[in-house]
Amino acid sequence: MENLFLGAMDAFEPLAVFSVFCGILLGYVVGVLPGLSRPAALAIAVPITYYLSPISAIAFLIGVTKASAAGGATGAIMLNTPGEPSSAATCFDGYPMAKAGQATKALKTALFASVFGDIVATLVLILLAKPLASFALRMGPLEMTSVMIFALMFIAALSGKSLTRGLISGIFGLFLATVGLDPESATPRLTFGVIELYDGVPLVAATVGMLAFTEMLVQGETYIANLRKGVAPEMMKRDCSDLTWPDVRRVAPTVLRSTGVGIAAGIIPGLGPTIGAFLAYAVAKKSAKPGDRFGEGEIKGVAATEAADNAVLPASMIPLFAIGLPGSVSAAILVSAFMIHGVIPGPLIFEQYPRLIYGIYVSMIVASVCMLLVGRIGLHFFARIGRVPIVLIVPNVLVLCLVGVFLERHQLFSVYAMLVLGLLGYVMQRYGYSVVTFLIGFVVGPLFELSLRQAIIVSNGDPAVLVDHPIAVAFLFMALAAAVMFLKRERPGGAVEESVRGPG
Amino acid sequence: MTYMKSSLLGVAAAAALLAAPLSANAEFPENPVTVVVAYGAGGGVDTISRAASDALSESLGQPIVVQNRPGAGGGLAVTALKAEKADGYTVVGTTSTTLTFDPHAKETGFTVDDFEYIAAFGVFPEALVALPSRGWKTFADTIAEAKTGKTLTYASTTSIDRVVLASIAKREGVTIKPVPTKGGAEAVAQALGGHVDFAYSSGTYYAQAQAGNLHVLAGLGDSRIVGFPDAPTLTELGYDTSSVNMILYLAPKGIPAAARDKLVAAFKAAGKSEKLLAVLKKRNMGSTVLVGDEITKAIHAQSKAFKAALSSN
Repeated sequence: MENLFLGAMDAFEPLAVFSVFCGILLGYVVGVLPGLSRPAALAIAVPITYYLSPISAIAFLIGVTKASAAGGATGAIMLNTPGEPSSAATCFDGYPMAKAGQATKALKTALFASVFGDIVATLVLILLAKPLASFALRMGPLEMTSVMIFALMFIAALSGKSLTRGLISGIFGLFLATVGLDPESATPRLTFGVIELYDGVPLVAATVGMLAFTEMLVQGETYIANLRKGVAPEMMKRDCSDLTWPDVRRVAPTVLRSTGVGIAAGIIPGLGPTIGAFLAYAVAKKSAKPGDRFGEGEIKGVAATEAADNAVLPASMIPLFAIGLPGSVSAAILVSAFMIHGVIPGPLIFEQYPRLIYGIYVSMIVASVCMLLVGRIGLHFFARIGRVPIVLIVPNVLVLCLVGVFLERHQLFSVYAMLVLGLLGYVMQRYGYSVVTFLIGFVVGPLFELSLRQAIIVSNGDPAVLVDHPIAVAFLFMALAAAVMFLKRERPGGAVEESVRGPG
Repeated sequence: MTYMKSSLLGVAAAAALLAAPLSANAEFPENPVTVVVAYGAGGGVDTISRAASDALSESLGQPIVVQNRPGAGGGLAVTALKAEKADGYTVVGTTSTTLTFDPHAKETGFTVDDFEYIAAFGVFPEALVALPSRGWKTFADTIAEAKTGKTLTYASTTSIDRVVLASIAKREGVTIKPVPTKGGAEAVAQALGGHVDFAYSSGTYYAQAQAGNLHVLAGLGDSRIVGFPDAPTLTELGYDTSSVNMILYLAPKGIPAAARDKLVAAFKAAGKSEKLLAVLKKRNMGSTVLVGDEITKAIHAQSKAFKAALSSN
């Protein structure tokens, strides 16, 4: 109790609060602007934290991470360009809402869902870190492989109008993920002697290229085509929407469920916010009620993605604090911030640094409140993005893409990779192949491959060992059940509900 | 006003002209020195390089610019260094195995002979660890269990641990299968969760071992790990294999002797700074500091040892 009080005092020190606030501001800027990404922001922010006290340093980085997750929805809703890959699913319903003149409603839903998911996950972290962490330890190679098969199965159902094309995109994404060193033998694969490819195709280059760069090419092309034809560019409808109580009541169950999905994705090491957010969207879509219009501007779609996205980070700190195992890339970067100050996250942290841990907990809540404030004030400006002419947006976003990708690793190679992948994404869009399923394949690929190969080694290639792994069996069974359910729906002449079909 | 401006410009131009020939004779360093960290911000190499930078700057009399250039296990920054001008203004900090091991194991654009070695700080407390419930006191007990014909698995993080364990397994005639992981944290978690029989870890295990959740079976270095005096080294167990991984600083081959000496002296002074020693201690990396000829010899010797180990497998 005394430590809680002392920790809270540390967290409320002016410098600590100021650090959180700066972190939130930086995170929001990075989140809102397509092209600038969270990994790039953290790569720049970590060296700054060498000069801060431990609590200010960690609070600052937590602020950056949280706010970039929340801010990522803005670009998705207003420009069909997610600020972060974890907000990619927000485009599906957020952008149609904005086009129909419901930008403010979509932005408010995204903000409140983000803050809600964030606070609930933080409270779960504070109250249940120890018992939940032991669950993370039980996730061995077999369990991880089954979880990933389950997640991929669910997300594949989002692949759009054509399941075949969706699967082709996803498999190409998995294929691109095999570039780099083989995890077992460390032999280079498909690197063609390019040393920059040893660690694989840079993730930021791929996500920025295919999400932001591609979308700008598409929008630029539409603009030029309209200009030639002499058609006035399509403007967003006047926005006079607002979030109402009936809306809140309608999305509340979705937000709760998505927060749960996000927390689960955070605790299971490696899944991360992008998979968590897509999984939550898929779950929301699959449990749609008659009258829900997913893919055409369904408010539940926005709420589902954003609540899960923000729930992942605090949850990914559960295994970090309790056993020293980071649950996401952002949590792994936080480890380095701890280590810089000589604090080693893990079993002894609660005994050795209780005051610091409670201070961080309180800072996380402070960060949530700051996020709500900054997001609420920013909303007035964000909602006006729709009035900015596209001739101004396209070139500026293109420049941000170039700069943002360069900043992450300070290498030109990433910029070239981004350009190539951006063009590839453009061609794929053109022929109806989903870039989103491609990216999910790409993001999941390395982890899926590693877990599968680990599982084959530890099981000696014998499926009978599954008997000793009930968690793995449960996930495999759920994956199978999901596959049967989805294929039934996909079958022509079956009970296909047109309204629950996915976006392209 | 205009007149004054142009006269000021004139003075500045004259000063620049005067300064130019002077600087040609001036002593190294007359510009900031860049330390390129071959790993990401916040990692071990990064933290230690940044901790050393104040002391380096003090002895060199110039600011130190620390940059991160992660990729290919340090290989990216080292490859770029080879193409850098040999003037002493660029120093790369990486793990020593980037130079001593990687060129033998995979295609790299460099060899151990391409560089001048300035200094090395600390030694990673590499170890083999297992759950205490296994009942193994040292790695000898692990091998004894493997000799009963049981196939053992261990969580691996680098090619080096695979080489070391493959040579042991070969000598003992047992099967020890490496399970590749993304890194130390995952390897430790795999051991804690009981998914593998034991794990190799270069330092992440330390807190878990202190808490009694993991047991140190053996150290991989030349001397026993600080804090775990009961764990023998592999050499003590009778294997002629070891792995010493340090944080190494290198410059391109052929930098001027004066610049090299200045850098060596500066790193030597930095190796004594309290700030650096505190960071090394917190990371359980001991207090070993090798500079100049000492480290050059050590690096070439380790490179030879790894080459021999790889060709015998």
